[in-house]
Amino acid sequence: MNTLYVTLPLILVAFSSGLLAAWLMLIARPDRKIEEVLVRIGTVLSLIMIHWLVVMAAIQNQAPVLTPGQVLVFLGVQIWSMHSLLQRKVRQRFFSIFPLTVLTVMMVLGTCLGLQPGADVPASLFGFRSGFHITLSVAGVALLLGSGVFGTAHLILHRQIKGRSFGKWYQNLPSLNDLDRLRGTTLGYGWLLITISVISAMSNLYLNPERDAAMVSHLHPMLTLWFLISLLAAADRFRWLGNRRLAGASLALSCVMLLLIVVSVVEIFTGRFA
Amino acid sequence: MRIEAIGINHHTSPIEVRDKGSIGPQRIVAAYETLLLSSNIEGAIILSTCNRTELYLSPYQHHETTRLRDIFASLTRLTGEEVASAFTLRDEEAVSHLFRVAAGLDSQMLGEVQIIGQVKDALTQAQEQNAPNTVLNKLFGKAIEAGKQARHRTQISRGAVSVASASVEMATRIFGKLDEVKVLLVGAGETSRLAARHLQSAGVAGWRISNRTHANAQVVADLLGGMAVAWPPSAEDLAWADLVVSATSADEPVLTTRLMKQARKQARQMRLLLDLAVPRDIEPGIAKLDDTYLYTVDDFEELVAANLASREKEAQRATKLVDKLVEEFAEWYRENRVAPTIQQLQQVLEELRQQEVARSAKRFADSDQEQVDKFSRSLVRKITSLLIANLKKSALEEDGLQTARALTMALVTDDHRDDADTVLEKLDHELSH
Repeated sequence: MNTLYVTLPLILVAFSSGLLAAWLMLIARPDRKIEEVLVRIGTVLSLIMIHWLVVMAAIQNQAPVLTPGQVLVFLGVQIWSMHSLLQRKVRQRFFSIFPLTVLTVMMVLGTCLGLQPGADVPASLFGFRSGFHITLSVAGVALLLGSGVFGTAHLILHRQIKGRSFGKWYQNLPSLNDLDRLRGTTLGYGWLLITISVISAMSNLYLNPERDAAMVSHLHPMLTLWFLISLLAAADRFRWLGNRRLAGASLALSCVMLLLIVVSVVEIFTGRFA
Repeated sequence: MRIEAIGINHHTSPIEVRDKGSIGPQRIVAAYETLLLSSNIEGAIILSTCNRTELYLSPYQHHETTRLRDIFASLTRLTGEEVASAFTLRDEEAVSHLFRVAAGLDSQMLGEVQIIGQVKDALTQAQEQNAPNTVLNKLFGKAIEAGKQARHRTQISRGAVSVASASVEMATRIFGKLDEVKVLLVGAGETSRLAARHLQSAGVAGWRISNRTHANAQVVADLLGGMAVAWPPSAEDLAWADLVVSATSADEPVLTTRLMKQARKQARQMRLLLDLAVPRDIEPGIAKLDDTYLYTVDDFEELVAANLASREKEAQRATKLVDKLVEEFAEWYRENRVAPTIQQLQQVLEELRQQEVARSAKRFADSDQEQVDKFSRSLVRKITSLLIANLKKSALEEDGLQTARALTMALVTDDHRDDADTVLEKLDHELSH
C-alpha cells in the first residue's frame, strides 16, 4: 500500500520535476532533437500515471477522489494526459511548460496532503454514481482549465505580435489559430463532460433525494458554473465574440472555476457544503 | 592529414568573378576527368553553388599553393589574377571550413538551409564520377552531419531574414498552416508579386486581386489561379480574406478603418494586413481593431533584425558543434591510417584459422566439426578485436604508426609478402608526413 500511495508518487514527482527542469533548460538552449525526446518521455510519463491511478481505483474500489490529495493528483494527471494527447495533433513546443508545471505542483501538493484514504472519508464519496459524477467533473474541469491556459497563451502571443516583441515566446508558442482551435476543442469537450456530470448529479438527487440532500447546496454553484460554461461554449460555437475576447473569457472562466472547485473540495472534505 | 581546399566565395571575390568561376553541370564531368588524370590526386570533390566554387582534394602529397591555384584556374577558367584571391586551406582548417559551410556558418545569409542540399549534391555528383576516395567520402558525410546538427540542435536557421519571407513567417505565427488562408492582393506591381510568390510557395487556399488597372489584376490572377475583383476592394472582399497584402502607389490609404469595420461585421475572424507600400495603403487606426494585425515594411525590418540577432547568437552554439565534429573527423582520420594493417591482420588470421581447421578435421568426429569451426572463429575474432582496438588507440598517438608498422612486419607470410610490402609502403608514406 505504501508503494502505491507514498513511494510511487514520490518517484513520479521526481520524474515530472526532472522533465520540467529539462523543458526549462530547453528554453535557454533550443534543440529540436531533445524536444522530440522530451515529448516522448512526457507521453510515457502520462501513461505511467494513468496506469497508477487505474490501479489505485481498482484497489480502493473508487476513482481517486477519496482525499483532497487524490483529487489534486487526479486533476493534474488528466491535464498532463490531455496535453500529451493534443501534442500528437499540434506541436506545442515550449507550451508544455504550463501543464507540466500544473502537474508537478498538483503532484507535490497531493503527496503532501496525503493520498491514502483514512477512516474519515465522507460516505457520499463512495458508490458508482458518485465515482461517475466526480470523475466526469474532474475530467471536465481539466479540459476547461486547459482551455483557460490555451486562452492565456493566445493572449500572450497576441500581445507579442501587436507589440512587435519577437522574443522566445513569439518564436515558440503554437500559432494563434492553433491556440484558438485547441481552446475551442477543450472548451467544447469540457462543456460536454460537465453537462453529463451535472445531469448525473441531478439524477442522483432524483433517485435518492433523502441520502444526498446536502448535495443540493453543492449543486447550486455548480449549476451556475455550468450556465457560464454553456454561455461561453455558445459564444465560441456561434462566434459571438472575437478570438481575443474568447481567449480572455476562457481565462476568466478558468479562474472562477478553479475558485469554485477549491471551495467545493474543501467543503466536501470538511463535511460542509456551500 | 592530407586534405586541401581551394575556392572562391563571397568573402574572397566579387560576384562577377564568382559567376565566371562557377563550374556548372555541363562542365563538371570534364572537370573531374581533368582532376583524376593527375597522379598526385587520390580523391576530389567540387562544390559549386551560386555563391561559391570550392575544390576539396585528397592528394598523395600536399600541393604547393601555386600549383593548387593552377589546378583551380584550369578548372574554373579564371585568370591568374582572379585565382590569386581564392582561399587555400589544408588539413584541419580545410575540414573546419567545409563543416562551417555545411552548417550555414559561412553563408552570406547566416544559417541558410539550401547549402546542405548543395553539399549532398556535390558528393553525389563526385561519386557518379568515382572521384572521392574514402577520406573525402567520410569528410563530406561528416559535413552533411554537421549541417543537420546545426539545424536541428540550434536555431541558426530559424526566423525569416528578408521582408518577403518575414511576411510569410508572420502569417504562420497567426494562422499556423497556410493551406486554409485566403489572400486579398491589393495592387499588382512588383512588390505585390514578390510577396505573392512567397505566399504561393507556402501554399495558400485562394486569391483575390484588386488593382487600379483591372487588366493587370487579371494577369496576376491568372498567374496565381485566383480571381480579379473590382478596384478599390469592397468590404465583401475584405470579409472574405484572412490575409491582405497591399502594395500600391496610391497617395491616400486604400483600406480605411470604416471599410474594415464593415468587413468585420460580415465575418469575424483573425486578419493579418501587410502594408508593403510607401506611403501607407492601410489606415493605421485599423491596428486597434480586435483580432486585426497590421504590419508595415518597418515592422518587418524590425522582425528581420531580431531574427538575424538571434541567428548570430545561435551561430556560437553551431560553431561548438562544428568544432566537435572536426575533432571526431580528425580522430577517424588518424585511426584510418592503420586500416591497411587491419585488413592484412584479418586476412592473415582468417587464412591461418582455415588452414588449422582443415588440418585438424580428421581428429574430430563429423558431428564436432561445426563446434570446432565456431570455436576457432570465436578465438580469432577475440584476438583480432583486441589487436584492432590497441592498434587504433596507438594510431591516435604521435608515433602510433610505428606499432602498425611492427605488426605488419610481424604478419608477413610467404603467400602475402607483396601485400605486406604494399601496406608497409602506405604506412611509410603516412610516416613521412
